[in-house]
Parts: sequence; structure tokens; C-alpha cells
Amino acid sequence: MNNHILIKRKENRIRKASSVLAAVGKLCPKLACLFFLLTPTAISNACGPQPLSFHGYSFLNQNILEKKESEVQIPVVGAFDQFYGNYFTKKDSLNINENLAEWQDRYCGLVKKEDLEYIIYKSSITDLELLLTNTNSKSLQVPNRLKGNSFAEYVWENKCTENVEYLIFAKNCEPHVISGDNWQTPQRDVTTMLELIQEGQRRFNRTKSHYMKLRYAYQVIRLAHYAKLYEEALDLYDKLLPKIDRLESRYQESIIPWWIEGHRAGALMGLKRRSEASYLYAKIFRFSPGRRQSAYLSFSIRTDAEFADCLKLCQSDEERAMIYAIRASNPKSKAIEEMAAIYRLDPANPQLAPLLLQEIRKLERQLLGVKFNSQRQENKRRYGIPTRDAGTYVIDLQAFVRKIREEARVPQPELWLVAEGYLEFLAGDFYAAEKTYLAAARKITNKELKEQLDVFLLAMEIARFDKPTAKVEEIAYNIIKENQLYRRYPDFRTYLQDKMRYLYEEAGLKSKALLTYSTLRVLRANPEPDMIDELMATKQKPATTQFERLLTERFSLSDLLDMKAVYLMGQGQIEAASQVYNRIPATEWAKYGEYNPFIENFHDRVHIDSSRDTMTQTVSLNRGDLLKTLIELEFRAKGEPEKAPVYYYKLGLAFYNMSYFGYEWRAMDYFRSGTTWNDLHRNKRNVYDYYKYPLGNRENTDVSRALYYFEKARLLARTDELKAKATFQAARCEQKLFFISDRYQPAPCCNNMPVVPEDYQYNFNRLQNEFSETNFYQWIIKECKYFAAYARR
Amino acid sequence: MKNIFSASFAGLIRCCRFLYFICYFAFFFLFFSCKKETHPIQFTPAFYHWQTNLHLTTPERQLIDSLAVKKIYAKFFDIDINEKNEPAPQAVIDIDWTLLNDLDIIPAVFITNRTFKNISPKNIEKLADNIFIKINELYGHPPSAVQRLPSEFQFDCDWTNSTRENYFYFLNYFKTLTAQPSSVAATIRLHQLKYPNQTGVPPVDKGMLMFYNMGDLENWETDNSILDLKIAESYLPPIHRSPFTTHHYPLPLDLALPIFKWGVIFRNNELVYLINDLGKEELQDTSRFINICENRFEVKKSTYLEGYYLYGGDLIRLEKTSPELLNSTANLISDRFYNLSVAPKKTERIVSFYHLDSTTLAYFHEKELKKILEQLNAN
Repeated sequence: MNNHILIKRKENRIRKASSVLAAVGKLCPKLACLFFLLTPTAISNACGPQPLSFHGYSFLNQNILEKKESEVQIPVVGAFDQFYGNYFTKKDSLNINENLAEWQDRYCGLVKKEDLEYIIYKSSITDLELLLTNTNSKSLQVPNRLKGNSFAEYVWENKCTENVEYLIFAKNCEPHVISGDNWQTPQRDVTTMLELIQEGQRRFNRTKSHYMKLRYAYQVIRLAHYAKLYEEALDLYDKLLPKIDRLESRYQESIIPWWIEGHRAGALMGLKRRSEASYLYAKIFRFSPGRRQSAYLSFSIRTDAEFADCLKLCQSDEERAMIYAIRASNPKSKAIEEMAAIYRLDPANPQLAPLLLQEIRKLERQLLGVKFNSQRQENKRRYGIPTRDAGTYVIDLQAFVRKIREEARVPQPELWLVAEGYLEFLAGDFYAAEKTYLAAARKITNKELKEQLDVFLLAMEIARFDKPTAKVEEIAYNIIKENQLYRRYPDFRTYLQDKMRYLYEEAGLKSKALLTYSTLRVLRANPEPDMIDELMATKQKPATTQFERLLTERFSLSDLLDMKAVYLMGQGQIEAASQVYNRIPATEWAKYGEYNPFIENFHDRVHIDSSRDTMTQTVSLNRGDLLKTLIELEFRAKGEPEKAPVYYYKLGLAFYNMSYFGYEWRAMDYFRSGTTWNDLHRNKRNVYDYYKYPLGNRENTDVSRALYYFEKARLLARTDELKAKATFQAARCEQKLFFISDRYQPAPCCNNMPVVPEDYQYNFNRLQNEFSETNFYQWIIKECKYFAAYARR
Repeated sequence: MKNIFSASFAGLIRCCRFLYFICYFAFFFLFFSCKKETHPIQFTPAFYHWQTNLHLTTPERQLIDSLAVKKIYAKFFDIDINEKNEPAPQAVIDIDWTLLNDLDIIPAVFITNRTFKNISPKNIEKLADNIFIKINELYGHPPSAVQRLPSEFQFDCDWTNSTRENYFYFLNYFKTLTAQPSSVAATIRLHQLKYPNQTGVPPVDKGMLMFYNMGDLENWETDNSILDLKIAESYLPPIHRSPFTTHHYPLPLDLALPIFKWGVIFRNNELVYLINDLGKEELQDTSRFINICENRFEVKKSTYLEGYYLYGGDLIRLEKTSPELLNSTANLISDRFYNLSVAPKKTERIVSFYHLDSTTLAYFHEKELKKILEQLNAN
């Protein structure tokens, strides 16, 4: 009893809720409009998903630079990180190697590098003190721990106590000058550092070796710099360096003076004497590979006056050119200005060619293949590429390069000639580019430059493809299969692919365009008959080009016929589909799957348990046989009035079950997306967006043919039970037709059951009014929740 | 007759049902839909400090005292990927505690989005441990004998779908490191406020809504990307809440307001630099700059400007938050902020001005900041 009351209450609540929802549902569109009108919806473009990566090409080969130029230190060609990525990761080992090499050199190569490395970087102060004691002693041998170490043995044998004393001092300084591991802030004990500076100076004065004096000077200046005693550091520099004998210390060959200059520059920067500091950093950058990274990063000019002062400090045009080159190496620079300055100062300067490559790389990004780049719209939208000024800039650079080439004062004029041709090509002047390339080909002897020219020529050959003729296809095929440069320069793949795609699209050959960048899978999601026919025609051509064969080698004519039949089935053209299918050899039918759409099913599921089948046929059929069965059922339905209702009912089942809403959707489609549900009412073409498929995803949502067969079955049925079943199935079709109609609006929230309007409820009304006495009615009202809800209205 | 009667009766019933529904809906609409939240919020002022040297000047300290500021959100360091491809601190703060007595210094850490790309859970935990130690190390080194502990840790990361999981894992893990009463907070950008379902809500105790940088910075045609009232309004709930309003962000939110200016430099129609604190005064040299129109300049000949080398033809757009604009913003926010976020519905919220430095304070005076505070608290 209680249960009964509870059920009643629940039903009342549902009824009330349904009526409110129905009313709200009617008002919702208006309220929603009002809401959207009143609420500003403009969202900043600044916020949004992360940008897709830029899509472009580059054919520049850095190897075209001469050795002198490629050793140039500025981070040319590409972004700083890319170019210097490897270098940065190696910088510690570079410093260590430089230092070890110098120590080894000072010992005439008589000590092993690994032994030096152990003593300098791994041994403890105790080890070194022991070595010093034993070296000073006449009776003691090399300490056991260092036995076999060639450096220790050399020191012991030759009584080089000054070197060991220096190493002990350096190890004492080390804790105060380490930069930490990023996470640990080094603690500078300025008092101890000052004491060490004093001690270092005493040792400087005491030591006889001028090379050791140089190293002591380095240690004390470094200590003063890190203690932020900038004036002190400069004073020490001025005081100690003149006392070092340049010849004896082999000052010019040593790396230590550059290390000292680095700390001097740091002290100057600390005192805001930026021009002097930057000048020093530029020199360090030029001459000290181990300190190159930090010098480049530390170079800092803030005003025009500082830059002018910095130039004034330079003692040669080469030095001035370096200052300009460092400024030009900023990835955001417009380096023609700096290149012109460098050229004015020193036409043979090795910085010029790398800067030229840097600027060409920037223009490649802007202009190379810009017309046929498959992501051109995205590049424009997300990166603003090509920029408005790219055309002007390429002409400016062209003029500059031509001037330099004509004056022929640069060391490698052929490179400038090739570059001129490439810039003409980038500017779209293929005729001029060809002439320039031809002139260059006659002059080039350098192997790398010749290869670069061939690469540029290949890029132009592809860019020149005008129409997708058989000849062009043959050339494209040969490039892919034969050309070594195509394989060695990875960007050629996307470059050629994008070009062929563009040409096919321009010629209206959509299917071939598709196959240049994707597979038949994309077409299967939305089989477009024109594209299928186009591909079938290609497959059946008596003389296909090799490129066409390359495009179509992964599928057969039968695959295309199957796809066409599937498309025709989706359009309800069963006879036409069967005719198409008959062109596939029967032996191949089985490979396209087996289907049984005749299972009687009252639930909206795309997966069903076939054991619950209450109808007759449970045998699965391949698509060809299925088509034949459908045609035969229709034929027999017309010829056998007695059994016609059952046949029509089965046909209705088949067409419903093969639709988007049925469990056997695979019979008429290759891909079904559950997310399409949200957009069913929005799309009249039945083609929906899907991220994997650029052509979209076609869904067979129209169940009007199934509805037709169920109506026929009901009208012809002789038993109320079959009439009731057919009516219910027809009601399901009506409901789905409502879901795909304009009138359907998803509930604004809560995933509520949608309210089906009266003119989509004819068959529910009929079932309730005419067949409520049938066993089927009694069963379905328990089985089907939404029908039960409808019946309770 | 009976039929007519029954038909009229049925009509009456239908009419009553209709009226019942209208009344029901009207009641529903009036009492729930249009309810104005009347709970007042009291904004307490604070400042952001986003530079590497936290050395307060006397005028800065005077301003802090006159506004009764108790909190300074100081960026302690950035975290980015270093050359060894590991997350590492950069631009570490140097704190002079002399004028910071009795102020609550909240450590803020900016973490680049790429830090959370391709990082394993183990390394995320290591990163959180390192940050925790580093903050405490910086916090525990005042020359004064008093050992300070942060009352809050704030993280600033513009996470994306690809990094959300890692960032949230980081926040969850970091919370396990902190002890009560320290709380963990995260900055919330406007698009994250607007689309919490898509962007996710960080697992923290509270958020700091960054109410700026709302326009399209990279578009030359944008007037002021820092603050645009029209765009700002689109992110705020209406004053009158309706059932369709879904603006309740599921975190208690404080508010960050901009008091800064900058110059946006365009080269070849592409944004190349942002120059902080750039104003018209720096662009008065007509031999180098041409004033195209209000707040827009062209570089006449290549020149250095604030350490950046600009080429002839580069374009400069000056952007700033004026006291008047911020006042209008405060007016816009004051009525609506309560509806912006959910429980705990405490009435006190922080409004932190971004950012504290002498240049900014030169054009944002005490009087103006007080007025903005009054405006915010006038709901």
C-alpha cells in the first residue's frame, strides 16, 4: 500500500515536472534569446587554446658557409635556442676541456688529461696538501691515493710545488664562486672572500711562475666580482695584470685572460658602465668559445649613446662589425641595417654570410610556398604570416645582396649570387631566379654550394608546376622515387605534397587532392559520389601515371565499389547499390563484413544482445547478399499479400537498424560518432564535423524509409499484435525524425527527456488508442520507459 | 446543454491551469531569477611586487601605510625550463627586509606553461619540493631574528589543456607540503573564470582573479589590451542573478587590478616586444618618434629604447590603466563581484594592485587608490 502511494506521488511529481518542463521548454527559446541579448558574449581573442605549430618549409643548408664563417659565433640561422641548443648543453664540458687542454699544454703534453681532470676537479684539498708535503719532502713518495696519476708524479718528480699551492688555493676559493645548481642560492661570505683576495695577492707576489701569477690574478678578480666588490675587481685588474710577463705566461695563447676579462666585464656591468662591459663581452664572444654563451647573454646596450660609446671603444673595424653582428643576431631583428654597417666597415667580415642566411631563413618562413601551403590560412590567422611587409623586405634584401654581389668584395661571392637567385625566387620572380641560378652554376666550384643550388632549383621546379598534367605527375613521381635531395631535405616531402594538393584542388580533382595528404579512410567517413567516381575512373584508366598509381596503390577498385554501394544504401537506393556491388567479384564480398539488420529490437542501442532476438532471421549476410535479400523481401512483399505485412515489417526493421540509430549501422556506414547526437537537428546535409576527418562525417539519420515500411506493415497486418509492433516501431521512427528536425531543441540542462510535439506522436497516440488491449502493448509499456511516460500523460 | 456546460467547464479548467502556470512561473522568476545579492564585500588592499629587488623605498612604505596595506604579493622567482631541459628558478628575488616589518609577504611563483609539458609525476613532486625549499630559504633569510613563515603560497601559471593535469597534480602535491594555517592559492585568468568546465578549476584554497590583460594584445588595432570595460563586462555576471547565470566560480576569489603601463612594439605587423612603464614622456624626441595619433607612435629612425633596439618603421602602442578607467572598473566590479565566486561567502576579499613600483606610483597617487577602494567597497 505504501509502495502504491509512493508510486502515485512519484507519478504526480513527474507529471507536474513534465508540465512545467513542457511550458519552460516552450519559453526556453525566447528566454534564451533574451538571455543572450542581455549578456555580452564577446570574448577576448587573447584567451584561447594553444596555437598550432607553424607550418612551413626551409631548404637552406648551413654547410654552405665557409669554415671561417661557420665558426662565427653569432647564433645565426633559425631561432637562438635551436641553433645553440646543443652548444649550451655542452658549455660546461667546453670550459673544462679548454682548461684541461691548457694545463696539459703547459706540461708539454707529458701528463694525461684524465689525470689532470682528477686532480683539478675531483681530488680533495687533503689530497693536494698531501701531495704538496710529499713533494717538499726528500724522503716521501707520491701519496698512495695519487700513485699512477701522471700529473701527481710529474709534480713530485719536478718539485712543481707552486702549481700544487695554486690548486689548493683555487679549491679554497671554489665554494665562494660557484653559481649553485639553480635551486641553491650560493652564500657569499664576503669577509672570507676578502681574506682570500688578500691571500691571493700575497701568493701572486710570492710565486715565480708568471703563468701561476695569471691564474692567481684570475682567482682574486673573480672573488672580488662575486663579492660584488666591483671597484676592487677593477683595481685588482689594473694592479696585477701589468705585473705579468706576457711572454713567459704565454698570455696571448691562454684562455685565462678571457676568463679574467669576463669578470672585469661583469664588474663594469655591475657599475652600470654598460658600453665598456658590452665591448668586452663582444671580444670574449669572439675569442673565447668556453665563455661565448655567457658573453652573448650578458651583452647589453640600452641607449643610442651607449651603442655609440661601445663602437668608440672598438679598436678595429672587425671589432665594430662584431658589435653590429651581435645586435643583428636577435631573432626579431631586421638585419639589413646591421649587415650594411658591417659591410661598410669590413666587407670581408665572416659575420656577413651567416647573417644573410639568418635573414633568408626568416623570409622562407614568410614567403616560401605561401600560395600552396596547406596551412596558409592557419599561419595567417595564428601567426600573421606572411606579414604585410614581407614583400617589401625581400626586395630590400635582394637589392642589398645584389649590391654586394656586384661589388664582389666579399670572400665568397658565389654564395651571394645563389642567395640572390633564391631571394628572386622567394619574391616570385622565377624568370630572374632561373637566370641567376644559371649564372651561379657556371661559377660554383664548392661542393656544398653546388648542392644548395640544386636544392633551390628543385624547390623552384616544384613551385613551377602549373597544372596536374600527366607530365607533372611523372616529374613528381620521379622526384619522390629518384631524387636524393628530396630524401635528404625533409621539407621537400610536405612541400611537394602541398603543391600537388593545391594543383589538384585548383583543377577540381578533389579525390586526388585528398590522397596527397590522407587516405581513403577520410573519404569513407563521408563518401562523396563524385570523388568515388573520380577515383574509380583513375583506377580503371588504361594508362595511369606512376604518380596516380602511387596515390591509389593502397586500395582496390572493389574497395571503391563497396564504398559507392554503402553511399547508395545510405541514400535508400538499394537496387543501384546492388548493381554496383555485383561489379565486385563475389569472392571478395566477405571481406567487407557481415551484417544482420533483421533482429527485432525495441531499445535504442547501438550494441544489442542477439540472443534476445524474437524474430526470425539471425543469419549474418555480407553486404552483397544483404542487398539482394532486401530487394527480394520487397519483391516478395508485393507478390505475396499473405506474408506482405511480415516482409514489410522486416524491411522496416532492417532500414531502422542500419540507420544511425540502429545497432547495425555498420551495414550502411563506416564510421559513427556518438557526439553527433548533439548536432542532429542542426545539420540538413547529414554531414557533421569530426576532428579526424577533414571532409566531415556523414551519418544516416533519415529513418523515413523505415517508417514507410512500418506503416505498410501496420496497414496490411491481419493481427493486432503485429499492428501494435509495427505502430510502436513507426513511433520510434517519428521520434527520431523529430530529433533531426529544426523543431527539436535540446533541453537547456539536466539531460531531460525531450518533449515530442503532437505531430510527431501520431503512432504513439495510435498505439495507445487502438492497441492498448494487445499483449505487446502491455509488454512494451513495462519495457519502454519513454513510452510509459508518454502513456501516463 | 450538458455538452456546452462541460465544454465551458473544461475551458475554465484549462484557463485556471494556464493562470496557475503563469503565476508559478512568475513567482519562480521573480523570487529566484532576479534576486540581487546584497551581501557586501569589503575589499582589503594589497600590492603585487613583480621585480627581482624587493627593496621598498620610503615613499612606497608611506603609501602602504596610508592605505593600510597588510599584504604584499611578491614574485619570488619564475620557474622555466633551463638549458639542461629541467625546471629551474630564474629571476630570483632579492629581499631587503628593512621596510617590510609587520607586512605579510606572500610568495608568488610564476611557472611557465611549458614547465608542465612532458614532466613525470615524480619530477613534478621533485619540483614542488624544490620550490617549497627555495621559498622557505628566501623567506628564512631576513637579517632580523624573527623567522617568518608565509601565510599563503601563490602560483601563477597560464595552464592549458595539455598541462592542466600536471599543474593540478603539482598544486595538490604542494598542498601536502604546507601546514596550516598556510594556504595555497592560484591566479585565475579571465577565460578560466568564464569557462571553468573547459579549463578546469585548480585544486587550491582560493584564487586570485587577474582582472586585466583582456584585450587582443597582438592586434595593432586594439586600443587597450590591459583593461577594456566592454570586454570586462562580458566576463562578469549580471547584477541580477538569474537561473541561467552560471558565473559562480567554484573557488573563493580575490581580485588583482592593474596599475601599470607599457608600450607594445610591432614590427612587420607582428608584436615583438613589451616595454614596461613606457609612457609618452619617453617618446617626445621627434627626431626618433612620430606621434601617429593618440597613444600610437612610429619609429622614425632606428634607435634604442629602454634597452630594446627598434628599427625605423616599427610601431608603438602605449597602453595604461588610468585612475579614471580603474575607477570605472571598480564601479563595474563592486556590484557583481559577490556573484562571481562561491563559498566561503566571507565578506572580506583582497584587492591587490599590480604592481608596486616608483614609476607606477608616480601616476597612481594615494588619493586615487583610496578612491578606487571606496568605489569597490561601495556595494
